[in-house]
Formats: sequence, structure tokens, C-alpha cells
Amino acid sequence: MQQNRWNIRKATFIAVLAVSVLVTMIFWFVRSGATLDFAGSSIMIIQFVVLAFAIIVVFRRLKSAKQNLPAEDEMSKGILRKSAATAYYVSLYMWLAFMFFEDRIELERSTLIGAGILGMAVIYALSWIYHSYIRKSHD
Amino acid sequence: MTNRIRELRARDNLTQSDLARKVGVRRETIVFLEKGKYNPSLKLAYDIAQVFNLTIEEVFLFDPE
Repeated sequence: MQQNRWNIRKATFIAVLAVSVLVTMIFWFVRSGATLDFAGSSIMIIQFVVLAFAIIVVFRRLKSAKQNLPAEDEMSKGILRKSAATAYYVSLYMWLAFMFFEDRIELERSTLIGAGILGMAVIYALSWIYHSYIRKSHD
Repeated sequence: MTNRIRELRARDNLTQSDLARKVGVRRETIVFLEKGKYNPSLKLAYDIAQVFNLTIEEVFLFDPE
């Protein structure tokens, strides 16, 4: 019961965080008067992917809480660890590619760093999907 | 490593959710265990064997190869 309440609280916290990020994103976009060019729309799409991932996590937690089951266990924690390790390696290559293309892409440094941070989040999400649903063994 | 979890669950009339609740894991973990796609920790193997009143060796079958 205690575990269940904790699950619901944690899921609510993630949901509130995801919604506040979404609202801030829209607010920032409207206030800045930015246009949806290729770079802008790519970053927006990536942000929505990250938010979708957060929503999936919330639904999984709420589903587990509803069935009176833990939201995390040894297998899911193992998947998170493996996803983080894979994402770390892939992110290194992404940053190397960014460094290589830095002079060739006409983007501000802050935009490039922002894209890198979002890229890391997307890589982590994709890595988690791979380890959860595509990989055959979870050992 | 193979296991007899599905067979023992059927014997004791337990659903995957029931077993998951008894051993404190997510239902997906039981699904992957039954499919042989996940090897449990020693503690989880022990807990599962306890639910069926058996020893670990009677539930989990080790293949030397």
C-alpha cells in the first residue's frame, strides 16, 4: 500500500514535470517569435519525443500502481542501467560528430549545445526501447 | 537455463500478476522469466521457489551446456 502511494506520487511528479516542460516550451516559442525552420522544427520534434517518453513512463507506473505491483524491480533496473551505458557510448560519438561538423553547420554554439543535450535524451529513450522491447535476452 | 514457472503457476492456479505480487516484481518480469529471456537473481529465484513450496533446483533447471 505504502509502495503503491509512492508509485502514484512519483508518477504524478513526472507528469507535472512533463506538462510544465511542455508549457514552458510553447510559451518560449510564442514569446520569442521564432520561426519553424529546419533546425527549429527538428528541436521541437525531439522535445516532443522526449515528452512522449516521459508520458509512457508515467502510464507504466500508474498501471503498476493500479495492479498493486512495484513500478521497478531487478529486471527494469537492469534495463535502465544497460540503457544508460549504451546511451553514454553513443552520446560520445554524437558529441564527436558535433565537434567535427561545428564549423560546417551555421548554428549558434548555445543552440548546438541544446541540440546535443536533447540528442542525449533521445539516444537514452531509443536505447531504453531497444533494451526493453527489441533485445532478445534481458540478462 | 529453463524453468517450470508456467507449469507450476497453472498447478497452483496463479496468474502472472498474482505471482508477481507475491514475489514483489513487475508482471513483465514473470513474462520474460517464463519465456526464458531473463535469468533471475538468486533472491528472486529463491522467492519464486518458496511460493511453490519447492527448492530452486526443482523450479529452475540448469543446462550445463
